[in-house]
Amino acid sequence: MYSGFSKETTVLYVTDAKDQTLAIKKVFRLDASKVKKAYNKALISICKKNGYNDGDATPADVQAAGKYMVEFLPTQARGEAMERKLREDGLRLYRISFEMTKAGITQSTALVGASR
Amino acid sequence: MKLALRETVVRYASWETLFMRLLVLWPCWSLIERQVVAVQPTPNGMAHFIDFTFLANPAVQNGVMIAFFITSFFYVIDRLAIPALAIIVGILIAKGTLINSQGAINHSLQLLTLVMLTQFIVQIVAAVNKWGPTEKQIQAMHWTKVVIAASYVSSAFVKLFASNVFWVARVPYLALQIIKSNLQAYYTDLEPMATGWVAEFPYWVASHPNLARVFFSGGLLLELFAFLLLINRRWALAMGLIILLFHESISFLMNIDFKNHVWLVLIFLINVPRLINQVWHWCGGRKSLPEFQ
Repeated sequence: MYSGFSKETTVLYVTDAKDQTLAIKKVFRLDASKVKKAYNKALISICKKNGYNDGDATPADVQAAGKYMVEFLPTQARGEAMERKLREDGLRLYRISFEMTKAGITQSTALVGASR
Repeated sequence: MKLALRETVVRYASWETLFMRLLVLWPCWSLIERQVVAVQPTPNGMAHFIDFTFLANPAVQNGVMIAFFITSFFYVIDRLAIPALAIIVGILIAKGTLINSQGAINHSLQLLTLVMLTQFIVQIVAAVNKWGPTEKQIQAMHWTKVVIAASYVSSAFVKLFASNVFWVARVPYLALQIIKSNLQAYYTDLEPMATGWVAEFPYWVASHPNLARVFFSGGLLLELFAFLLLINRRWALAMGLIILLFHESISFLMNIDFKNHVWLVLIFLINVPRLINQVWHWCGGRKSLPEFQ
């Protein structure tokens, strides 16, 4: 079980050039939770360089972390042919944000990175 | 009736420790045969000092698997166990480090590696103290259980420290984690998501915060008191079964994999081969295998 809970969380998913959702494990040697951890790590690192923590990330920081991810993900592709195809066709990274409010659970989706 | 809550070093029969050594190799193997990529973009732990990407080389991967087979044989028969375990632990650490250097770490490998490291240390202590083979294996399995218990107790303390002791108060926020875990499982494989009450569960948690607090406190208490499994065989079995239920229910609700933990619980706490032997005996089968040797 989780050691700490927050009243908000995010889920990332990846789509191809035609915006079709990709089965992450089939395409990459990762699962969705690791994609999120890698994204968070990139975001933390970017914010740290800018002198603040990721809780204060700006839209530009989010986009920079997304850009890093769409460049990083092809390196995790299953096979060189897949990696080449992903680089040529491009990828999109989406983030779904959930928040628990008094009214209940709300959600919103945003594009955080695109390589083409 | 006097209730003795003291730690006991269980005197396992040699066939039980043999099965334990044999069975623990399966989760080790499932890690060792895992394909890895030749990059470590975000080095973790020893990867800060060593480049483990050579493990992705197919020739090295084959060599590692052969080395694992050979050393496993010596580990199981308990001959040259110190070098055998040194190699097994080395492989587990190297491969686990590379896997955890891909930008995302997870703790599914830690307990397994820690268990094998513990057995390696006990082998050294046994050699220094000139323990006999039976005592050595009994101590190895006892300390394995100590490490398993400690991992659960420390997990409970981390929950309490990370939440400033307000873990139970914050349980309703777990609803978001359940939604997140299930969605992540969906985006990993694009397999259809759970429907019915499983899908509704996080919304139930959000709308019934106090009932949810009572429900999930059981998990925290189980982890906090996991050391009770060291009392004797029956406590180990009982705690093992409850921990198994705990992991399986979380896996069911949140789509989180506890494969290695479940294996370790089945092998060292529930002690499945002995359980089968006991059930066979109770069902009127032939005399059960000896308790002591």
